[in-house]
Amino acid sequence: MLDLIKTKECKFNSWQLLMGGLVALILILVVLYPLAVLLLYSLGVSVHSFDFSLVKYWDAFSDIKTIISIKNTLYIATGVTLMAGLLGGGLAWLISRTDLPGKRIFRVLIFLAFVIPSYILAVAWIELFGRNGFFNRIMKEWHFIDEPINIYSLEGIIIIMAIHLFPLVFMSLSSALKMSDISLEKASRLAGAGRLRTLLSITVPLIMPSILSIGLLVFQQTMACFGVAAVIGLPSGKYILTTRIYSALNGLDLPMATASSGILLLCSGLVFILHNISLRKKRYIHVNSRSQTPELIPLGRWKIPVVSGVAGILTLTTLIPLGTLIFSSFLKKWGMELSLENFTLINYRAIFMEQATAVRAIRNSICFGAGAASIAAVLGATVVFISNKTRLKSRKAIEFAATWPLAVPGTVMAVAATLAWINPPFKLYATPWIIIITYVAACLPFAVRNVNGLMQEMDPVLENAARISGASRFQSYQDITLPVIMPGIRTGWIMSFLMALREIPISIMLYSVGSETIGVLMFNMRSDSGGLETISALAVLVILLTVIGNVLIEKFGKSRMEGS
Amino acid sequence: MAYAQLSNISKEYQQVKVVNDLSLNIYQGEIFAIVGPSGCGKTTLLQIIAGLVKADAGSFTLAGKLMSSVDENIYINPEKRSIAMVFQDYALWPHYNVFGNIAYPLKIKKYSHSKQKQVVGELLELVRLQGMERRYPHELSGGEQQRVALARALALKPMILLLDESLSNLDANLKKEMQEEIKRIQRDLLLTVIHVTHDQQEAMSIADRIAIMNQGELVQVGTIEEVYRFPRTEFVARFMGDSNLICPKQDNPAEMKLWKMAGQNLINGKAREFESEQILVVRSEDIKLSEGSGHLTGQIITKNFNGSVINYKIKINDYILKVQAMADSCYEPGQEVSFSIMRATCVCADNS
Repeated sequence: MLDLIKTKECKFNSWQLLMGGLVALILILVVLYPLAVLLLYSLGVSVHSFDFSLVKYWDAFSDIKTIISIKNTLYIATGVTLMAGLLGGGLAWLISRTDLPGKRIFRVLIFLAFVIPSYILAVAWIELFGRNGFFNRIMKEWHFIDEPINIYSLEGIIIIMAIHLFPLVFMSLSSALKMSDISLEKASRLAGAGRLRTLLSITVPLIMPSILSIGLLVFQQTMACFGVAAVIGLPSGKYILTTRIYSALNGLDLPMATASSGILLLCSGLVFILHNISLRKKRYIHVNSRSQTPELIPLGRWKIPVVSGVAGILTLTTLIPLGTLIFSSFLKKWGMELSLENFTLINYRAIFMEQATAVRAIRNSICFGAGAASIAAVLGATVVFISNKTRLKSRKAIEFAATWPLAVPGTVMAVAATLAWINPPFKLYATPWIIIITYVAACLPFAVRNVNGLMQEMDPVLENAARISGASRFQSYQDITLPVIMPGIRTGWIMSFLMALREIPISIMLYSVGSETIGVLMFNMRSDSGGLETISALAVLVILLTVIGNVLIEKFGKSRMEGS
Repeated sequence: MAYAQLSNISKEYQQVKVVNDLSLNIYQGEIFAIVGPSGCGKTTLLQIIAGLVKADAGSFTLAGKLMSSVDENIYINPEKRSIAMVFQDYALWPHYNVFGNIAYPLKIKKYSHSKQKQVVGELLELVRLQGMERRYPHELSGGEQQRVALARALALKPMILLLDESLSNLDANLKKEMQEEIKRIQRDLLLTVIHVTHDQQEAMSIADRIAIMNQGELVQVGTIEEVYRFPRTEFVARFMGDSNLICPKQDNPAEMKLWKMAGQNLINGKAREFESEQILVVRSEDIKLSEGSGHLTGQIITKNFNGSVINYKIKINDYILKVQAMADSCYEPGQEVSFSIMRATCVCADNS
């Protein structure tokens, strides 16, 4: 008897150790190793040489272009944060606290704005406001303007990124408003404060932690943006850090690419850490679990101007870009007369059947995405299991390593992967595996975060109940824990897959002939100007898949607990 | 011969002794309640019995079989103990429906599907939830969830049933109904039940025997009546019911008077005068009020009508006396009343 118990306990412990070791090894290889190689290289340390110096950074900073690109990065990040914050925050307040009519339609429009990938949004805006864009053409024809509106500027990037990111702000602040205790606002009204006073001195301070953390997230996401910055900024020679890294790598200027990557990683990492701290602080705000319906503020005579304003803004951010893309995807050739005989389905036939690279790109994106999402889902779930259910000393370090890629912009990840996987012993460069592995690293945080929430919410008593009912430890994990976290695993998988579909910087910097992805295809078509109608068709396809994915998350990603 | 026997059980969390050298016997077929304030270690004790927590010292025997013993290095896993438990928040699995929840223990034991169906059907009849098999936990009310949890616990005919604050989350009426239900099922199945709660009222109305627990130790064990009538310490007296505690204080003449009066009606021992470690306990229902002047008088300060009884607070100089009287008594706040003490018990002060 005694021996039996001893061996059982040992079995579990050694099994823990084995699992922890294996996961740690994979994380080191996939996440830490590439970043370490990048940072060490930028500091002059590599396999071939060991002369530690800051000379690469010194050179980077003595180049005026670096300084300008840092300035530009901070400029657009600040601009986007302010604009997306005002737009998203204002809409969140209007929709959750006033009697604004048409809320449901507005929510759908905001959701649609959320599913359009930023690069595709930029393409739509080029189709509208480019030199030969619909808007400029119509305006010129009717002699409203002489000079076409120029979208190729930093402000253009700000507008597009703000439109892309404001739904995030909207969703975060809407739920913060929904969670905050309405009775606190009612108490303020009873204490004699007016509506505006209540808004400014009670409502806003209560959700301030949420405002801060979503602001930092938007700031960081904008710093990491690549596709929009490239397609809008590069034609007019406006560089930000990500595009500077890209062109340095293209020009085989590795020292500049790694030093700029180091700088971007530092900025992004700092903001990420601040964001995490703000998330932790959030727990202390007073939240109300009972759902109370707020007394809606009547808009009164402001109703009509506000409704038309909101409708106008959302038409501009969502309907017009979507319409433009769909419209262009049926055009025979970009720039042709807008008449019925120029409409065709040829673009869709091309991307699905005729154009070999397009067919391959779609297949590759789906395969790489599904593969990486599956690996990340298994790995992520294991990481969460280790960090919550085992007593390994390094379990929190393992979880941290798995969520850290959130702080790393795709561009930096691509440079790191290039350096890490180009030489033996890990010679993966110019194979699809380099893209898949980097996708896995990028997807891991989604897998971990979605599962972690459910795992932490789950009452450990549920497992105890299974033990009491006669299940062994492993059986209780299999029958109880796994099904409870399954919705999180599914959501994480879909989010990872969608990321792979719309992702550009990783694949554009790591692809080789045969491993092009949808992102590569769209990015490269821009250079041979004739491709806008084909890009549009691809864009419509990606948007459709994204909508389907999000509907699936809504449907299958919810746990049964939430129904109660 | 005790059915379940706990000997010298200890458990520490971060240098705090949650359970301290505790021994307890429980007999077959009784409902045994463990009562104590929150944080007294009662839930930990229950989890040690279930095998969900390992004790640091001591042993536990169930029906003559050693379940855990630190000295002999024996520890039977919870799934092998045939002990069932109803958890405080019921711990129903959200991804299984009612049938799935109740049938889970049977599935583990590899019952055939038709046998599972039959047993679940019987259990649902027992807890009066026929026809609810397809519902999911979130579609059930609190009382229904409780019954499902109970049915699940009874599925494998456990040797002992543990209830961990299982009735605390129900509203008053439902609680009463479930208490009767549990008693009925316990009688029908001749179950042995250990019920842990912080609510002494609940414990009194359900249990045969009761243990009062404080700071990891058992203060008193006995039948309900014993513990209520003859509390051994000040803590038990305070914890069980509404009582007046009277200490012999030289500087408080009113309390001294009360002490002397109560001392004449002691049902246990004899009040030794002016012994500070001795406290006299007078239940609020053991005081009789009458109009006019008598040996002792006081002024009514509050009156609280409670349906079947009326609770008064009476001020005698600096001392506030709690009195429970029949609902037909008619004294008003401000009125002077005289009273007499019918019965008193003497207990040890806690700080002695």
